[in-house]
Amino acid sequence: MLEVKNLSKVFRLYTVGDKTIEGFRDVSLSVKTGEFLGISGPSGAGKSSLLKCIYRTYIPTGGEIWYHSAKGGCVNLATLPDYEVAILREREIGYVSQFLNVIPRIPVVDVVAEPLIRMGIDTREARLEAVKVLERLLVSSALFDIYPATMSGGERQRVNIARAVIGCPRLLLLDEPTASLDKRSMAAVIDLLKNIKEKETTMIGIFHDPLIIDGLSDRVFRMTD
Amino acid sequence: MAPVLKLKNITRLFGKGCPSCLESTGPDADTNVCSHCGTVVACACVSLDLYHDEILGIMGESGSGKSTLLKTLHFDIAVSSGEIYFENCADINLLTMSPFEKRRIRNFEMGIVYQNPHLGLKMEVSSGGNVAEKLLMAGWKNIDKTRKRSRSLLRETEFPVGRMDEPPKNLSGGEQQRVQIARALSSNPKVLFLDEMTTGLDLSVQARILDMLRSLQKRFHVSMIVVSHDLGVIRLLAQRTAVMKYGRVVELGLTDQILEDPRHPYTQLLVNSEL
Ligand SMILES: Nc1ncnc2c1ncn2[C@@H]1O[C@H](COP(=O)(O)OP(=O)(O)OP(=O)(O)O)[C@@H](O)[C@H]1O
Ligand SMILES: Nc1ncnc2c1ncn2[C@@H]1O[C@H](COP(=O)(O)OP(=O)(O)OP(=O)(O)O)[C@@H](O)[C@H]1O
Ligand SMILES: [Mg+2]
Ligand SMILES: [Mg+2]
Ligand SMILES: [Zn+2]
Repeated sequence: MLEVKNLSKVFRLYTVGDKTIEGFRDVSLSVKTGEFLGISGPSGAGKSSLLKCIYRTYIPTGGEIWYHSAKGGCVNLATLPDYEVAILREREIGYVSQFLNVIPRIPVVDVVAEPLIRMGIDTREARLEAVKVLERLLVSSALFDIYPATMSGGERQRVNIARAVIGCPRLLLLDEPTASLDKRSMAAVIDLLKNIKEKETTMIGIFHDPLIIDGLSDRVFRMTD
Repeated sequence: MAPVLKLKNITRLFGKGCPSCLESTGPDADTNVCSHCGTVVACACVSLDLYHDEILGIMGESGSGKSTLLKTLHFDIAVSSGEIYFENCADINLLTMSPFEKRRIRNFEMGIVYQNPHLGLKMEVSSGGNVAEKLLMAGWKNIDKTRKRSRSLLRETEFPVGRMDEPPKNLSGGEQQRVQIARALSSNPKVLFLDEMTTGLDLSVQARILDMLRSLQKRFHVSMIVVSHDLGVIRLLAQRTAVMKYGRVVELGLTDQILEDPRHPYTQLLVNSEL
């Protein structure tokens, strides 16, 4: 489903005297449909940068990212036109980071339901589905109608996850999505991830906790400095 | 997929122009004034596509040509050169059309919210009348229906409809922008141009207008070009963003990429200065 070939990312920073910083170099890996690939490695190894390149928040400076899309055949995410990447993000590729880019002043249920509504699903149905996912992630129903901005870090993170999984993406990129969760809600998240894996969502995940990596991944890709 | 609106090499000069205008201006020349003839190159060679259901952001410092670009798209001012294609008349450059045809496209398919409400509204006419005027231009004839639609649009933009008979000059800046938005949306346009629509409003009003706009975009399925120098506005609304400097687009990309992995030196400066 995904094949990364000799991928590199170098940042060139002009505002601090034209400096270059290496994100990662010459990474090759492949992920099969329905597989969960864990990514491990020391801080600064380039794990987050790699995921961001796949999601195209970063533009790789070398190499290729071949993705078998549901409709359009095989595309290179490193060079695909922005607008087509935007469509893939809406329909097929999800991303959850440690930090929620909160959409302000929209109630939690609507934040989570939005991807479904954009796919053309009826608003009522989408909200019902959102409630289900939020309940699975143990988000208290008292919070459904409030704005994410006022929620705790752990609650927000689960809203973030709920929003990313609700549309059943074909490929889900996870960058330490459990970083600020307590044991109980972490277990709920892991349970949900295992469940969507059975539904053939392919996942690439960075987790600090070796127990989580071992519990979820079919394989682990190690990055070094 | 074909874009709704396609711009090719839009260029607008203010001044008599000379053969060196383009090469002696731009980000590298660090000016938009031609050193040979003094012409202002407000925008040059701007090529952009706007897709269905998309919000395209345009950011850039004061004087970079953002408003000029929007005004040329709305046929408010002429271009010096360039082409515009619209999906309903895909192979005809809109700029070669007759004034009558242009007016028809503008009235039926486009809406605009100006940076300066004085450009978009008749300050002495009632607010409802300002909305109705656009409907009349788009062929609405029945006064009663027009008034009803104006009222419902003003309600959509969270305008205090009890005040729709008052002229915009009596209203606050935020209320005036809501009247502009209602007016712009009234003919159910395919594309909407928004120029700094929240600049100068206080933060809570800004936030409510942006939220309202997001939800209207989803319901009306209108494509938008949103001009703002506020990265927060761009981040909230736009899927893709173009960065302009001295009339040129220096970088174009997915909004999160522009903000997190800006590659042009100018974009880096712009993004870093906001951190
Ligand atoms: N947007 C950016 N601009 C400049 N440098 C960056 C950027 N993003 C990452 N880097 C640099 O790239 C290198 C790899 O960073 P990255 O965040 O990918 O590491 P990581 O493996 O995810 O680390 P951690 O485990 O601490 O999250 C670091 O040196 C980092 O400073
Ligand atoms: N009618 C005009 N005559 C002469 N110069 C003009 C005219 N209109 C605009 N300009 C010049 O064209 C350049 C671009 O102006 P424009 O209003 O498009 O900038 P902008 O990006 O919208 O700036 P701001 O963020 O301040 O609104 C500026 O240098 C401006 O002075
Ligand atoms: Mg990281
Ligand atoms: Mg302007
Ligand atoms: Zn000149």
